[in-house]
Amino acid sequence: MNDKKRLKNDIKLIAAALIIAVVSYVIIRTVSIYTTGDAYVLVTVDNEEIERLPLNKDTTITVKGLNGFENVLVIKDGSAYVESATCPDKICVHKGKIRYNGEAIVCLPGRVVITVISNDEGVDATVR
Amino acid sequence: MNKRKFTAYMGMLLAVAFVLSYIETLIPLNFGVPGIKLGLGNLAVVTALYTIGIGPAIVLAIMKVLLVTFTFGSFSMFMYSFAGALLSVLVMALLKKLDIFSCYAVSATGGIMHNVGQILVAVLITKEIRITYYLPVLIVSGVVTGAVLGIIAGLIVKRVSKVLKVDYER
Repeated sequence: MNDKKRLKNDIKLIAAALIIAVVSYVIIRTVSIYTTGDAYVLVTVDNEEIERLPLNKDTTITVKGLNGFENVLVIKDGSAYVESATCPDKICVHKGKIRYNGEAIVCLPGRVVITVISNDEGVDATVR
Repeated sequence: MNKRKFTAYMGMLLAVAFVLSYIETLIPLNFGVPGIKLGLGNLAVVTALYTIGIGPAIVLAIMKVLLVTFTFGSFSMFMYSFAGALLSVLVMALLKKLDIFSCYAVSATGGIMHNVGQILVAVLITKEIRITYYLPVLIVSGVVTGAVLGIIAGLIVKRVSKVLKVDYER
């Protein structure tokens, strides 16, 4: 077999590998969105359940904490975060996004605890 | 090739593989994805495959993993590396035998299979199927590193074949 023909086969094989990569990426992406469907965000104020929100549905709510403090909770693209808050230290805002089981945002002044509850520990939790 | 020449050449390739693998441990590469490697040591394996054949290449790949992981690594690393290296060299040998690809695609496939082998062991050990999440990235990185190494190996094989007086085949 001549070199030219070999190179042609090479390109075909490498193209096939890249196509497999793209297709499997799309499949994995779809499946992972589907499997995180049971995850939800539990919002408690002073240990009392206020709200239970599915993690796969984008939404924004205002959580009224104790002592008149309020937190704006945003759920977007499978993760939850506090966008703004009226509490003095803003630790809940700085905490950033949470998405895996057991991750939590705590706002002590308002006694607000926002926890992700799911069976999904997340890939990164496993492969550390 | 006579026996003495073969032994010397094999030892040389193993030394090269060993040094290249060591150099690789000095290059910090962190893409946030476990398993991405340059696979510099694979250069020696591909060169062996195209100069002294399938059998010696497989032996070289296994000896390389044993040497490198017992020197620089741990037992868990050994399992990943061994699975990756073995799958990689076996698939490369198969493609070489098919005789329809040049060393570029053979090396690229070797790169992919190295990563796939590691992922398979990781899935078996952790029983966590979601690790396959990394597969697409590892395939792409395997193609890129493998193809580049294939090109380099092609150049080396061309020159080494003249010195060794073995049939040069791309």
